[in-house]
Amino acid sequence: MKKDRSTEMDEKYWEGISSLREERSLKKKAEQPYYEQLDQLAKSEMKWDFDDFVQMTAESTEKGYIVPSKSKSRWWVLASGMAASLALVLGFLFFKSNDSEEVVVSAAKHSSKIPSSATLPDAPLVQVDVPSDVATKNTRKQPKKRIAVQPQPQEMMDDLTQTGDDAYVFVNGKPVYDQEEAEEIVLASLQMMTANLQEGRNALEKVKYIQVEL
Amino acid sequence: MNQDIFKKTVFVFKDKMYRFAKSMLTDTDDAYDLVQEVMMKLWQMRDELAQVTNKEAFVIRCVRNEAMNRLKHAKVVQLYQYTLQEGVVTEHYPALTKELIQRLIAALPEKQKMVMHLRDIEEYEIAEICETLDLEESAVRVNLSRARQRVKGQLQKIFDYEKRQINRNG
Repeated sequence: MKKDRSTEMDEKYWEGISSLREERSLKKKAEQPYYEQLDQLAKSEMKWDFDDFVQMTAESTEKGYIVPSKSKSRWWVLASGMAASLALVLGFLFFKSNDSEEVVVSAAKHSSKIPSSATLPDAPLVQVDVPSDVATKNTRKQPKKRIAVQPQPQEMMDDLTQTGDDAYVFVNGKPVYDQEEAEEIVLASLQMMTANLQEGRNALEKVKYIQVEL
Repeated sequence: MNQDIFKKTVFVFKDKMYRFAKSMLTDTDDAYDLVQEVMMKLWQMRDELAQVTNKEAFVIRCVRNEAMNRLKHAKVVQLYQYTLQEGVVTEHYPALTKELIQRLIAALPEKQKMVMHLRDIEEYEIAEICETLDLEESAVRVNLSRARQRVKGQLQKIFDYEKRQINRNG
């Protein structure tokens, strides 16, 4: 009778319809090695003390290794996405503005010979785009006045001989020694940067979703 | 949540987490690493964890998710299948050890494997399995039944083969 009960429980077990109590009974009796081994599997332990775990948490804190929680990680992704898109917009605007403000420096600058005035017409022009009104909010959108400046021999001499230590600012590698001119250039640059930042910020407002994978 | 409470309410499940991870990943070192990693994450979110009512179900779910992510890696899956074939199919006279049973459970489809582990190793009630794995009761019962039938079939194959070999040699 006892054997029949065990067989019945065994059959119910394999059908997946036995109760937890019956299954525990099968393991306890250990009549079949299968149940005995199942019981053994349940006794498998992880050799890891809480003190070791505490040590690990202390080390991770010292190293600055913080496992981010889900909410923090979302914030980080959002922040990096915004930073990346800002960098993209600014980069795009920077290169775009550089195209129009490129200063072509004469190749003769690098020559050891000072060209005579007769040869000057052949020399490339130095072109500078100056915003018409540096005080306006968005200088990039204002019509620009293109000034063609022909390099003077003295300027070219200065370029070659002066080290640039006394220069107030450098425009595309070219030193500017005049204080007033330097102030104007700095002011114009700052205005341009402000305008670009404003434009970038406006463009960012249109971004609804961005995903960045590093 | 301070260290003491964490130890009593979360760290106390480390053995269950380890066994569950091992049943999914088969490799003991991988299971060990996984549990350490999950435990560290749980420690980082200990304040949020204090509000979780069934912490055991929660930590087992964390282990399951992490293990599933790792198993998605094709190389891991291939290696796991290879070792399984070597261990079960080509072994001539396997003893009915806990390692063999573990391998047979590990060879089951994911749901069957998880359900059978929680029931037969951790002795969970059906309702607890439902909560832990977020499954319907009928799904748990079906998966449990199929898992056991499959293990039984594998055991019969192995030991019938063993008997045939013994009879042939005898």
